[in-house]
Amino acid sequence: MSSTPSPSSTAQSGSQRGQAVPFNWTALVLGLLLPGGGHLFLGHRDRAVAILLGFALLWSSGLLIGGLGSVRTWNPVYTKPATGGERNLWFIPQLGAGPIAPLFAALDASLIRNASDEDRIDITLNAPGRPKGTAYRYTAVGHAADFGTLFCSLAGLMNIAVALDAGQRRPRDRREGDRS
Amino acid sequence: MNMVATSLAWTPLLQPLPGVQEHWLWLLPVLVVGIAMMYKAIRVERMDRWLREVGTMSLQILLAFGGFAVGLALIVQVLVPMFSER
Repeated sequence: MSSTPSPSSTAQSGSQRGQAVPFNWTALVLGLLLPGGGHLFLGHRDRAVAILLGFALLWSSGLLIGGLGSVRTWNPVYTKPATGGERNLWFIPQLGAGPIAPLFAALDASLIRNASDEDRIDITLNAPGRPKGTAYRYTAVGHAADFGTLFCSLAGLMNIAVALDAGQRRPRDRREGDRS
Repeated sequence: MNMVATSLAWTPLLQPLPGVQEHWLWLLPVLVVGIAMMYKAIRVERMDRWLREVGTMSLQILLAFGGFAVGLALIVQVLVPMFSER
């Protein structure tokens, strides 16, 4: 009797199979660079496509809901950092999405933060000692800003979990077919 | 009519999605399905079961949310007024 798991034992994670699989740092890094990239590297093409589809749904929904401001590295003038209004902290989990996060943050900084004067409106901040400022005419506020930021942050956090899974997953055995 | 006009004039990415402030609850199924898609992609043993598992997980989460909503509504709308009348 062989102790090798049979193909019918379909759990793919090394730890699930009870085998000590060395952590694959290359798969982890590839997974962080591109959602599903780590699994693709290991030969799990179907999983990689499924991961990418889920990530694309979350990330694109976040951007459509809240606009480019959903991925933001700077604090708009109307936020109140003293009361926990630092929106740019959400960029930390969004970084889990890989280079796409700083790319969209740069787009936001370019198109929204540096918007021309005709695309800006004067705003009066209802707080003592805070100066008047300007904001982008179509800036997302309320639920649109909250949900847009949340969608992109969850996409980044889920991708970290997915990349960690790629690091500990056993490369696909060609004899197992397309099940994994 | 105003909502239709706002939606037609919407510029994706540069403007937030119209109507979110009033209808934000409809975003919940999208969020749940997206999370389920990524989670089940690494959890299912056979990928031919992925779609069904995503549907099941999404439904379970949404039903749980609905259950909590009903329970909370009962507490706030029925139980709290009942005790506050005493």
